[in-house]
Order: sequence, then structure tokens, then C-alpha cells
Amino acid sequence: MITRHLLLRRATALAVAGSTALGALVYLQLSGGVVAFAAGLLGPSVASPATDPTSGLQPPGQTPVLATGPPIVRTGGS
Amino acid sequence: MTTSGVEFPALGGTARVVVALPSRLDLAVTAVRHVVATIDATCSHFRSDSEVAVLNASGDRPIVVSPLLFAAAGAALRAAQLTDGAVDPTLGAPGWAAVELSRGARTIRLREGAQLDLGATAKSFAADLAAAAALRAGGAGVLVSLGGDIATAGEAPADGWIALVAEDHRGSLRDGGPRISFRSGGLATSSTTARVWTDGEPRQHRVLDPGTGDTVRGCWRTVTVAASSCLDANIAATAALVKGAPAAAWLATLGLPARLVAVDGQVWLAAGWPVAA
Repeated sequence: MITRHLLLRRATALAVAGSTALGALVYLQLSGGVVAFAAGLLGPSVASPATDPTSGLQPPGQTPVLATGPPIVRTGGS
Repeated sequence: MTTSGVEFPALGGTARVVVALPSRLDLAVTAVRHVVATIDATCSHFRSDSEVAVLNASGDRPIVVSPLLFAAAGAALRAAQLTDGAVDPTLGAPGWAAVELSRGARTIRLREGAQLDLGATAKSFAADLAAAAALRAGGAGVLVSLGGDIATAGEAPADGWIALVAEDHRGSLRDGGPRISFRSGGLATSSTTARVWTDGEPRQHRVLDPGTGDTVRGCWRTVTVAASSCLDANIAATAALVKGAPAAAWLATLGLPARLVAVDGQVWLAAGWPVAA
């Protein structure tokens, strides 16, 4: 009886702990979701979502060189 | 390596698509046409049914927009930030800070009566997108020019992409002028000499100074810039026209190779732009 009682208590304790852990996990997921949802709703105003504004204007990988061959395209104002 | 190219009307100007592998031209052109049509439906100021036109009519409240418009607006605001407002999608009134983008909700809010004008950046933004799409579709190096704003993607031909540098993108490839070869990134030219009209007024062009709300009347008439993307090249070229004399040093500091033509025709070079023999 004692053994069965101890097993029952341990099982109960494990169940409680498990449900607590599960509950905490659910809570974290929900709260995270709420935070994410709120962030989506409130949405911090940003100046440039497409590109990091601090990245600056980027030079080309290689500097252009003079060409002697026939051009294939024309750049100019439009 | 032999290139192959084609031209067609696009975004109020001329598009030119050149591929390093001629057999991939059709695939590349189809991809570019799709991007151009989508950009036109999203960002055009000449269409009352474009998404940006609808946004501009929506008043002072957050509006959920398409990912493309959100990205195009972000590119325009980045241009304003990086140029201290010399390139401003509200044309200076009330100022680009009145445009609020919310990344999480993908909304745009136009405060203080602001109107979003993507004219300064949309074409170069589209050229970069089109080049990337054409590379994905055709699997070969590609160059896309939209009204003289040039983007490239993939491997360049053996002798590079050769461009004729002019003051107006309209004209013949047989015209005289400096020719440069570049292998990647973008090339863009802004000029006060293109699209001149009179209407009884002095020479007018479409490059506006956000500081005055009037057309630019600085010391440069044409600026050509090479950069890592067509968008960055275009931002720098347009900003240089607005900034005036300090622009040459500004471009040199940024390491952006540039060719600046003064109002009197004198040519200035910056950041390693090749010197003609």
C-alpha cells in the first residue's frame, strides 16, 4: 500500500509538474504571440524597411573602365 | 561572348534588355515585362488606379499596402535619409519624415497631407528588380535599362557591359561620347537637360529641389554614377544635382565613381571614374 501510495504521489507530482511545464510553455507561446501580435498592431514607425538606412550608398564591386568596343546600352537623363 | 538585346516602351520611356546568352533573351524579356507592368500598376503617378494613387487619396491613417509598394516606399525613404532630404518622396512638403512605415503591419501612413511621389526612385528600383527576375528566369547574365537607369545581374560578358554615357538616354548607340565598361551593379544618370519643355516658361525639367520646391538650378546639368545597384546609383546622381558644388566631394567620400557635367560643359570626375585618353 505504501509503495502504491508513493507511486501515486510521485505520479501526481509528475503530472502536476508536467501540466505546469506545459502550462508555462503554452503561456509563453501565447504571451509571445500576443507580444508579436501587439508589435504588429502598434508597429514601431520605421523609416526604411527595405534596406538598412545605415548601410549607406554602396560603391560598385569594380570601378568602371574605359571601353573601346561598341556600346550595348546608353545611359542618360530621362 | 555575343550579347543579344531588345527594346520596348516602358514606364514612359524605353526599356532595353541585353543578355549575355542570346538563347535566354525571350525568358529575360518576359520577366522584365512582368516586373515593369507590376511596378507601373503599383507606383505610377500617371495612373489614377495605381496603388500609390489610392494611398495618396486615403488621408492621414495607416493603410495596409502590398509588399511591393512597401518596399518601394522604403527605398524612397532610404534615399531621403541618405541624402539629407535631397531626394525626397514628398518633394519637400511636408517632408519625408511625415511618411510613416510600419514594418510589422506593413502599413504606410501619410501625415500632414503628405503625398508619396516615387518618381525619383521607382524606375531604378524597378530596374534592379527586373534584372534579378530576368537572371532567375533566364539563368544568364543580364542588363536592364529603364529610361537610362541600368541594372545588371549575373555574369557579365567577357568585355563587360559597355555603356555609352550621354546626357539624354534617348538617342543612338552610334552617337559620340565616352564609353565605359562595367561588370556588375548599376549605372544611372540624372540630368537637367532631358525632358525640357517651355510652355512660355524657362527651361523646365523634372528634377526638383525639395528645399525650394522648384526645378534644380545648380552647377551641374548631368551626373552619372556607378554603384552596387541601379537604385544607389540613381539616388547618388539625383542627389548630386540637388546638392550642387559640394556633390563632387560627397561622391568621392562615398567612393562612388561619378562623372559630373557642369552647366558650362566642363566635366568633373570622382572616385576613380576613368579618365578619357
